[in-house]
Amino acid sequence: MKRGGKRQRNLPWLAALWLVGTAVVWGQTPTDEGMVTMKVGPDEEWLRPGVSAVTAIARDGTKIPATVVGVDEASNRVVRFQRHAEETWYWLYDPEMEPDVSDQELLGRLQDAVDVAFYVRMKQTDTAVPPESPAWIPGYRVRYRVRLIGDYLSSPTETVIVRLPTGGWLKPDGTDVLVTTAVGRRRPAIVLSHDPQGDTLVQFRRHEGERWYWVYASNPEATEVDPALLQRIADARKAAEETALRKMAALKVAGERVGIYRNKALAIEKERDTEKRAQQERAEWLKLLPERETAVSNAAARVAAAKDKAEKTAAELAPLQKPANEKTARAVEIEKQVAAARQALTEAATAVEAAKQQGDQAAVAAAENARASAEKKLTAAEEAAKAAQEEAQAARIAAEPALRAQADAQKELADAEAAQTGARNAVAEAQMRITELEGMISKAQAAAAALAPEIEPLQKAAEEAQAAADRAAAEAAAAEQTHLKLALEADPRLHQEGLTVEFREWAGDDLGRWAAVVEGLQQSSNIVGSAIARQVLHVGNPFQPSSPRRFAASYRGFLQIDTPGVYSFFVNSDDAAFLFINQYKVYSRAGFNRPITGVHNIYAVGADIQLEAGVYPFEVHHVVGNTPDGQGLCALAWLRPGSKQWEFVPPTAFRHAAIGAVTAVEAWDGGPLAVFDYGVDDAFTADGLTLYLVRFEAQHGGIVSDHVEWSFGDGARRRGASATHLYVRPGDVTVTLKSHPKMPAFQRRCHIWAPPTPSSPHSLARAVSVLNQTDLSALGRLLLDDMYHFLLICGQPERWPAMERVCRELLKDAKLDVAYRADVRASLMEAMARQGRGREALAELDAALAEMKGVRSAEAQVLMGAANVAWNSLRDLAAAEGFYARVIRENERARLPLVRRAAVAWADMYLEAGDTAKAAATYRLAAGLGRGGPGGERLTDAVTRGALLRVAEQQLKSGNPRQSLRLLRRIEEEFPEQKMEGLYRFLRAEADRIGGRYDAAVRNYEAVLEMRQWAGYQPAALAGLADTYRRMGDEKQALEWYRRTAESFPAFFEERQLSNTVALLENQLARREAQGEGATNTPPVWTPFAGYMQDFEGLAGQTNRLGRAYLLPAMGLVGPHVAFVDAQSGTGVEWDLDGLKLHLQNILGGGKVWLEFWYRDTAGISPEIQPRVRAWMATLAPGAHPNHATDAREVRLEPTFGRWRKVATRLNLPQTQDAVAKIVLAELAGLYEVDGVSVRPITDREEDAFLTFVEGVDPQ
Amino acid sequence: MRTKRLLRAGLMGGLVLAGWLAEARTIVLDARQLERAAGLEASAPRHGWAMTREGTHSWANVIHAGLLDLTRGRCFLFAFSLADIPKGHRITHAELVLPISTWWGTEPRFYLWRVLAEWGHGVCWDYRLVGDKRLEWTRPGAAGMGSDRAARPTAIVRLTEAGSVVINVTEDLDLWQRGAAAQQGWLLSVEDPDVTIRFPSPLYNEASSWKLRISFEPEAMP
Repeated sequence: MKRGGKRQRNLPWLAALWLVGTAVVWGQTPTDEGMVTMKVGPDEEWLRPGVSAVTAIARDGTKIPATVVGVDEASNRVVRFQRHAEETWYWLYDPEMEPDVSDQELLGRLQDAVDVAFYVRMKQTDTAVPPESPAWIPGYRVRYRVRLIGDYLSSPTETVIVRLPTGGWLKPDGTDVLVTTAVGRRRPAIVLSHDPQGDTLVQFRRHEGERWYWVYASNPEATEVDPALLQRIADARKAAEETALRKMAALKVAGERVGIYRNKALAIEKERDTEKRAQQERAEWLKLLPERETAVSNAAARVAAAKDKAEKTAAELAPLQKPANEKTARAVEIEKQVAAARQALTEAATAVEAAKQQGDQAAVAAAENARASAEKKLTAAEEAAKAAQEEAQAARIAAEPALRAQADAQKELADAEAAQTGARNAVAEAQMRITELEGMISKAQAAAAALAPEIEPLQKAAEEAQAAADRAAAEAAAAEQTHLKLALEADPRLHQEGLTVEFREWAGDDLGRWAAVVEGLQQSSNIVGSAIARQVLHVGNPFQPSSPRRFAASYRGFLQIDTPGVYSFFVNSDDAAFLFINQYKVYSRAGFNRPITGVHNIYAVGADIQLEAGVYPFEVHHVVGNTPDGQGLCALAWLRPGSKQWEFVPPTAFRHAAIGAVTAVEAWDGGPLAVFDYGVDDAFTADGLTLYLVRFEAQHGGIVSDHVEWSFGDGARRRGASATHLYVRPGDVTVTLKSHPKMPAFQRRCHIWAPPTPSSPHSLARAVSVLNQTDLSALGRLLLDDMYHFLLICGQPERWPAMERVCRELLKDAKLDVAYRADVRASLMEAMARQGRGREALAELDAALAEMKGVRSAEAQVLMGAANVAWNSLRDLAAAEGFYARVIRENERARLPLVRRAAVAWADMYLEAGDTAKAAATYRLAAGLGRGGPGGERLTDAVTRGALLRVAEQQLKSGNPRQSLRLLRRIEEEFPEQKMEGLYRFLRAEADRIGGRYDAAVRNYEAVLEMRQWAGYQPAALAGLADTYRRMGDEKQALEWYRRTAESFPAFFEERQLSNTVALLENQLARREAQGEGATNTPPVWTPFAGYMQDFEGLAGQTNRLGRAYLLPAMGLVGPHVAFVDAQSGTGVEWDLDGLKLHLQNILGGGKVWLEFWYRDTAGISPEIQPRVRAWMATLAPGAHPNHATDAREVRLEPTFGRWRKVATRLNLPQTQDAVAKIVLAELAGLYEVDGVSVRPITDREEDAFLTFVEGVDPQ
Repeated sequence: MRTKRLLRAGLMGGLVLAGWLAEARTIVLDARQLERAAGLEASAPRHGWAMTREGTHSWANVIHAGLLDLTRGRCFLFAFSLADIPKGHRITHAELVLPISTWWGTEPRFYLWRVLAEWGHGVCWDYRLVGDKRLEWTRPGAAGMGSDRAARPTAIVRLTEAGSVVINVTEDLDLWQRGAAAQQGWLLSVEDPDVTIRFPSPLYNEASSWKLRISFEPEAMP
């Protein structure tokens, strides 16, 4: 059947269906069992909510009434109906629209419709329950049930990547893997990364809309790929190559023949074209010629007219021109005379001057006369000239019009004659061109006629060759398609999907050049982890987070380039990084480097490459050497064409495959088979010793038998499906799980480290529980030393069995340091006594003393242990006195701090026994014994003592009980006699109350109440007593003490607003009594809030309560269910864990809870998005808004690369009876799995013990 | 007669007491008796720096005449020569005086541990002895409690006021003097984060050198 076919329009009442993932999970709820919810496209308007009487029909013809329940935000019609068996195909129709159609006909039409690809797209039901398992494939010993996760139906991917836990089961190269669908159809698969001590990344090809797949593994006889398939692929490749060759040959022949034909056709075409163009031009000339001839005639007429005009004007000019010329000539003549007269005058003047110089008066007079005569002549001449000029001028003016008319006529004549000449030339030109063209036409016609007979056979030959080439090309394409199809059967990577990363330990020693790095990578065969990635980005080695040095990471994937252009790529890293695109090294950053930070020129980094649109395989290799302070950063960034901003290459730039999750693992013989996963639960440090609490969970998809056997890699072994183990060293350890008698143990390399998660106050008890279950005999000395130290300071009441066993193991070492041996001996006696074997413990004393080799301090230590047993366990005052006295007697000259502590303990014993006189005396004795501390006697004055007490009081009032307690311990150490004082006892009672040592608190409060001189502390002591009982859960006693407080000190009661607390207690007491405390026939409903553990197993079947997450059977870290949150769209999905809104009842008003859960992400990293958890607490008091947070915390989620990590935080409880805790996951990116959500109260004692532990064995 | 006998007895007792008083004494060891000192550094795990008078080391802390910054991931080893304590004597009191230059952190703590394992030439974070055969600490940084260092610290000192710190080390000296444990000196460490405590070099000068004040008396005395 086809996918994605077009819908027929003649059947409007029939709709193809789209089964929706989360919707079907709803169908698994008890109330809606078997219901299917479908979404039908918005254009199916005939599906009207509440109106349409719709029927669903299965492929076997079964009709099922359906309901259109609504329209979603995307206008899809939401339809619900009962599921029919395991059917995954349904059609919807409206029976009222064609009521006469018989069932048989209807079914036939439906089936016909399928045959003609009538449907939009049929998708398999998304169900938490897998279809029936396929028959087992012989040879394989293990198979994994894999479920596609997330909105896989709308994902256009062709392949799936799944991480299989295979540690120790596969062949060394990991190639014995085979994938099938539910019906046993084999899918091409390939191993992308194989860690022999962990997981294997497998990529396989999807089958249409299948959600479930079975991955077979562990078959020593398996070959890498089916040989027959390989042969078929080789044959197909050969056939493709041969057809390709034939195609090329045919194309060449076709090309040649077409070329010949083309050339000949071009020649004919050329002649025809010549003829055509000549004809066109000739026609134009012929059209032009008459016009030109007309122009010649017109020009001749114009010339004649111009000539006439010229003659006429010449005649008119002649009579006027002659007098004008004569008068002008006369004026010129007279002008010459004037010039002569002027010359004569000049000469006469010169003669006068000459005569004057000679002084000859006579001559002067003569000259003067001559000059006067000349002047007269000149004047006369000038007048004559003037008259002649005027006369000539008048004559010329008179002739002027005639002269101008004559000139115009001459010009007109010249123009006409020129035009006549031009017209004649044009006609001649046209006639000549016409003649030329007629010649050309004749010539072209003759040439074309000569070529025409040759063209037809050439054309036929060319067409035949082209057809042959087309056939060959089609055959080649078909052969290539056949080859590709077969090749895809062997290698799904040819679909060019999936981004993965593999981390290895770096074994090379040179980062200076790529060639050396390649050598190093080849040596670095130790894979430490691999993951499905979303982007090329990591900081440090996520699989060995405590060791950021010496690792190599290799990303492999496919870049989707949509916009062609020049791209710049840059891998910001420390140390070296290399980017290859299409196997070409595009970017290289060799050597030891630091990440580039700060502001830089945009083009100062990166390397350019021009990319066309398309898909490009790429690799990024990142290597971190042994670099101090290295972060191990690797981030692929790019500068897109036209962009002015570097950015991380986003997830959308990569082609991703669908993600599969293993939900079960099975053995071939049905035997018990399990794998496991782990997570570092907690890490806590004291006195330089860090303990790592690691959770292990055996998994096979259901409840794992407790018979599985763990080996934790440090010598310890244990049985049980769930295990927590205590490690004392960070680093890698190989843990194995033996579950099947005929299969090797599953093994996994586990990285022990201290995650940046706050330590849980419950972890100490868990660690003790682990030790109580651990076989210590196989542990080495180092581990025993650490376990002993831990047990010594953890303060857990359950530690004594483990302590006894640890001590006995340690004492087997004859080389044990003598002081250490003394400590262990004392601890052993206490451990035995705490388990009710005080007498037996004391019987150890002699043997212990014998081992101390006469070392007094060691003997004193042992004796103090004995005294402790005698008093605290056996209540044998006399015996204890004897031990203490012996310690002091034998060491009184030595200023050993131990001796002083013995005296203080002795005095404490008297005080507890009520013998205050002896207690006081002994405290005084202690003050004079071997004091530790600065200067021995320096701080003995009362001022210091008083100051310490007051500071302790202030610390307590300001809410710092730990600081107060530390000061009290210092007082106890330096001024033991102070223990008798009222202020000390009051402060100690307060510290004990807050620290959960309720018995001691009650004793000290009561002592204060008996001390009249400390009456000022009595109100607080009364209230303290009441609160102590409240914390103990004894409402009646608490109410009694509050009543006495109110009666005795009403002002104090009012000031502290204790009436609120009283009201709360009264309500609580009333609820307890009303809800059946003491009933014998039914279990009481009322339960004090002593612990609330909510894992997902309890929610199975209530998936809809998880909001946007969906709960599925999977191999979780806490039971076989996991909540999945699909945020692969990466736009900051917010998941409101509304279903895990945890109602906390009877919380006794106040206190703290510890909220934690496990999570891991697949492809979840994104630098733009910061996933985080918001946890908050709200009161459920009447009238209070349920969404008003009384306390809130926010924790950032780190990328885990598929490893389980824990989120933990404290929350303060409100001062009410009931409260609600709520969790919201926000800004997610990728696929998240969440498991083991828990909320537990933190008791005062747990809190105090943990803080004490962290402070170590600090004597102050 | 009776009086004479009493006088004689008193005289004898006085002589014995005088002799005992002459034997019971206190000595102060300082840089001149410091026979071994070294620093261990986690970030340079195979790089030992010995605190010797002649040492001219390039480490950030100039050992010979500088300051030692004690922080997590770094510790100091040191051992005084106890040859000045005569045999047949027992320790009645011993105090270690450590001058503190300054510190960073709120009321920071440092630990004083009795060292159990032999250490010497080439000692560093990973190794306690480097020679023909390298001997590792059971846990790097001499951190093995009960094997490298004592299972219980001799003292945990919380700094609240300026000046020298005086630590009662009577028990450790007693163990060494009796031969119940080999004398491998002490180790100073900081186990809390964000704490730095600055000591003057043990060889810095007379006034601020580290001192070990030991009181002892004849074993046979009452």
